[in-house]
Amino acid sequence: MGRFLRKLVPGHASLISSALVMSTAVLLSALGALWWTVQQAQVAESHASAARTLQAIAQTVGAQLERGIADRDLAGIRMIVLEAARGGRLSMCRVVLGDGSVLADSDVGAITSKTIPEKLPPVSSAALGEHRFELAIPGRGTAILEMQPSAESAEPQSLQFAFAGIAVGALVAVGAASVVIRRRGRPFTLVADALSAVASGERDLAALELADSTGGVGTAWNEFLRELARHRARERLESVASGRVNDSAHDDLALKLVDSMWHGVVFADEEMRIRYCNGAAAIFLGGTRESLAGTPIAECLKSSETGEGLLRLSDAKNRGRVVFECGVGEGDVRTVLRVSARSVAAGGYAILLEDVTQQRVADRSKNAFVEQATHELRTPLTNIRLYVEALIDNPNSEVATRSQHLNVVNQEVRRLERIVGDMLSVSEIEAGTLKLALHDVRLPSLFTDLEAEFAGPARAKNIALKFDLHPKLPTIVGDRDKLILAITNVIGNAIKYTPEGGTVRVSARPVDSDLVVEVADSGIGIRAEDIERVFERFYRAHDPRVEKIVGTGLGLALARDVLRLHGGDISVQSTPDRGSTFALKFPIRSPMSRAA
Amino acid sequence: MEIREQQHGAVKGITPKGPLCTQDVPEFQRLVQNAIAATMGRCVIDLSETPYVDSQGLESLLTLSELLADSGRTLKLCGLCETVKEILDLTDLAATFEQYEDMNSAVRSFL
Repeated sequence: MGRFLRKLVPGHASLISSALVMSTAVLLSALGALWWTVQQAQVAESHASAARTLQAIAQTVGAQLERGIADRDLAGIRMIVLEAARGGRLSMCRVVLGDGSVLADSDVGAITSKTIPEKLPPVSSAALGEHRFELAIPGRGTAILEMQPSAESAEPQSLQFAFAGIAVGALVAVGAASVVIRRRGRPFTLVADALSAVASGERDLAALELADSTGGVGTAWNEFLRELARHRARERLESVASGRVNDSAHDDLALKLVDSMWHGVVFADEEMRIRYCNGAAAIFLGGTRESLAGTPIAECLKSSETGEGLLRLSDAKNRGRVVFECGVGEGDVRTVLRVSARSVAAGGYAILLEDVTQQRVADRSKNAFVEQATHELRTPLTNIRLYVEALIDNPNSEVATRSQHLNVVNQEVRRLERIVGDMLSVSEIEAGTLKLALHDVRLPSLFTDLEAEFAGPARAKNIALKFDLHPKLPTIVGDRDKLILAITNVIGNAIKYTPEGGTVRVSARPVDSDLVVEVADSGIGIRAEDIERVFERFYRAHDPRVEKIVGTGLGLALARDVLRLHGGDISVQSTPDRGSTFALKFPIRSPMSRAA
Repeated sequence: MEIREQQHGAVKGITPKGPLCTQDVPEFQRLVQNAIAATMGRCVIDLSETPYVDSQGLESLLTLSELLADSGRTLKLCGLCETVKEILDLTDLAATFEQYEDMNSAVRSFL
């Protein structure tokens, strides 16, 4: 407001100076008119006075002249005329006869009659006037005494011109002042129009702004409007911060929208203290909306990234968005928040909080998967290449050796198939497209195939692999390939994590309406803290013995997904260093029930 | 009633085994509320092993939904059997929850 007034003062000064010019012009005009009137009165008075003087002179001199004419004393008459002209300060004084001849004159050169006739010529009354007086000479007739007041007492013509000049000057000044005032007053007229628009309900401050060409007043008015806009924004922020809902339906809707967002929204003041947060933000920041009001952001988001990010945000030059991630909360999986913040025109900062924990977990898992899968694929490929090269290099080797080499190649190809199958299944599960192709599955045949598949690897590790199958295993409805995938992963793990000389026992039996397949090994076992998580995708127990063995961390997750798709589940019991028992349970759906 | 909790990445899955009825509701609600607080709302209720939900169970689901609604979230349910789907439809509450075919789809919704 102060700036506005400071800007407004010069405008007022100009206006005041214009008003002064106009007042001066009016005053001058008035003075001129008064002077004019006084002068006119003085001139009139002067005229009257001159007339009275002439009258008095005529009376005084007239009698002497009449006597002189009667005595025919021409020299005396002329002396009287000269004296009268001098004494009465007349420009002209003369005695004229009825025939126009000049008997005596203050200007001697103008005398035309050298004698006084016996009988004076008659004088017409028309010849008499203001400055012409009759001289009556008994027995001789009449003559005329003509007098003219001096030029000093005449009407001052130059003064009249001066008066006219003053009047014209005053009019020009008034006109100029009027133009100046109208020009200076135009911004005020526009401001008055804008105020009328506000009174009529105009709320858009941008529509009330004046053009730059309106000068200082316009600039000050525009600055005032901008200050008002900032004030309104601050007020809105205050009302939001204090939880008050503005009476405007628009603001109410905006507040509801912010509250319904699943991303956290925070308004912080210039000191980075929370002024308002929505429900999602309150959860992320670990408090309630009321308790968080006034709390510094840095106290709620404690991390080095937060400190650095807020520092960048508070940099006065920074008008851009500042984005950083920080971890909050406790527990196995810390919540990762992506914080996007920027300063707002009304003052303070708008901060958006997004929960990106699951994205980060997925990113880490995928990176680990690619790393593991690369490793996992490389091992069988290397083996295949080595054994094939040996066969090529030694075409005449013994049949038994060639057979052994080909057997290794065959095993490694199967291993590759499993890995690729796992990866495909994972991608199907990830995409939500993993579906079962249901067919009749003859369980005895399925286990026979499995026994044949794992006989080699078990023998290679000198592990006693036993299949304890119920004599009457039913034919069920299911996805054979997926079931083989699930059971293969469990048996494969058992062999993988069982040291040489150990045992792996696979049993399958119907229990009530379910089929239960148990895979028990005498392997390294699983620690209690890992048991809950071994079925998670990409999870691998934090055990050096496990980390030594390559694996994707997908096998058990896939087995669980497949069994659940079949309506069953998988569970595990384990004692570290003594072994684990995985139980795969799924309902038996006979071909008859499927037909029904 | 057994209630299984399982972590799926950053998401916690809660699977009640058996009908969600009056006597089991307090324990179920306590577990879910704890899970919501611990995971900041990244929580899915797997009803694939819940054949039936009674009025108290339904009320409990609504309470949890309102708790999440305050932070702009919706309660995510997955694996609903036909009976539970029908109960939600009849009570006109189906749209109150986010429903997913299975846990994987529900977990992916957090991405």
